Amino acid sequence: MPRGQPDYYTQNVPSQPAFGEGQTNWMVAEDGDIAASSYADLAEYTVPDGYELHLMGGAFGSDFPGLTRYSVSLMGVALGIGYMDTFVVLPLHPAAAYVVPALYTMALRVYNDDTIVHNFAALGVGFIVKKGA
Amino acid sequence: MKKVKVRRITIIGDKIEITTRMVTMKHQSEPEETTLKPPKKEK
Repeated sequence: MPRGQPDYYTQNVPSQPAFGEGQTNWMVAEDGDIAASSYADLAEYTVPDGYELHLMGGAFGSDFPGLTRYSVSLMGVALGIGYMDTFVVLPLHPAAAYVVPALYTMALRVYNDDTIVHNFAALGVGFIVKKGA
Repeated sequence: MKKVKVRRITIIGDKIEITTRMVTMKHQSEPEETTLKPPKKEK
C-alpha cells in the first residue's frame, strides 16, 4: 500500500536559493537599441580581484521577430554563438555554472541581424564567490 | 563604431543599482576578436 508523498510531481518545485559562506548573489540586466547589422556586449561585468563569478543562468530577448544571434563573451571573444527568435534562455544549469575567473570581463553579446534598429535585452544571474572562502 | 545608451540593473548582495551606461556597437563587417587575452593584473 503506497504511503506518504508520491515520488513524482506534476509541476516544478522551485528550490530556495541558498548561498554558502563567501558567496553573494549576482544579477546584471541591460537593454538598449542596437543598430542594424551591429553587435554589442550587454551586461558586461568585470570580476573583482580575489573573486570568481559563477554564471548560473541567463536570458536574451529582442523585439526582432526573426532569427538573430547571441553569445556569451569573455574578454571580448564570443564563446559559441546561438540563434534565437525574440527570446532564449541560456543553456546553463546551477550545477554546471560557467565560471569566470578574477579580473576577467564577461558579457552577453547580442547581434542585430536585421536591417533596422531593434531593442535587445540580456540578463545574467549567478553568484560571486570569494576565492579561498 | 557607434555608442548606444543602455539601461542597467545590477543586484549584488543586498545592493540594487539602476544606472545607464554607454556601450560600443560594432558593425558586423568588422572582424570579431578571436584571441583570448588574459586580463592585466593591477599593481
